[in-house]
Amino acid sequence: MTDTQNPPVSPDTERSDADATDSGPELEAVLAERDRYLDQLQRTAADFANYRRRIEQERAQQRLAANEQLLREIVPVLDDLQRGLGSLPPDQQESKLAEGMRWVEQKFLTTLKKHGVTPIESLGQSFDPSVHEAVEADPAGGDTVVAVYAPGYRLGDGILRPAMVKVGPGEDG
Amino acid sequence: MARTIGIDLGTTNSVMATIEGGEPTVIPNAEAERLTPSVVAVTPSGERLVGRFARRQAVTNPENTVFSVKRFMGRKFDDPAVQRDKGLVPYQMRAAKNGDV
Repeated sequence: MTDTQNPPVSPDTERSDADATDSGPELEAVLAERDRYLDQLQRTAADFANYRRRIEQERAQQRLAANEQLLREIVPVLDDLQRGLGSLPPDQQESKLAEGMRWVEQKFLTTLKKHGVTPIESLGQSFDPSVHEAVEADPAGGDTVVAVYAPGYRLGDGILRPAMVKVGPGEDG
Repeated sequence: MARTIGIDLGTTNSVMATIEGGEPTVIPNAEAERLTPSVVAVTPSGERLVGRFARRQAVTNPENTVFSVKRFMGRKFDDPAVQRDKGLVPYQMRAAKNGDV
């Protein structure tokens, strides 16, 4: 025979929040503090969830960005190589050295392409600030790229570096 | 919940940040950059450009590309500082009815 006895009911356990005012300002203050803590907890939990989501996104982005930074700093080396080739006097353009340099240029471009970097065709195009940076403007005006001082390169969907161009009148302008 | 952002409006570049988890965090712009050039332009076709794009076409559109505008913000047109710097920028400025730039 089990002796199930209900625990003694004391006056305190029957009290509800509605009776709080009966026991005075002390309980009210504690309840208010509890509400504050609860609110803070909920805000911090939401903050944390947002933070975690953003960290995941940033981590993926950082991986790509590290590569991008390196590629962006290496491209000017290719610029110099291409300028060197372009400045050869006519009698040296078919020399063995020039031929060798052109192999190096090709290998450079192929390696860049392997990492998603491709040159942007700019000469003769309409000037577009999303891919071109105007460093010189023909006083006659115009909105065509008439000279390219440094080629632009795409990386994936975005731009690694805009082309440095001169803007002037087009063929028909 | 609406967020509050803080903007550092610099003469050359601007930055924006918000508080997250009690710490200030810089917000990247639409081009995923943390710095935005403080440049605004209107192209001949009426298109409005902001930031890096505006700066890239500045040379082709000097009279309609506004930069370093912070130098003139909040000043009166007759202010000696305004008159002095006015000659350094290619865009036009006028006095408003109340004398502001």
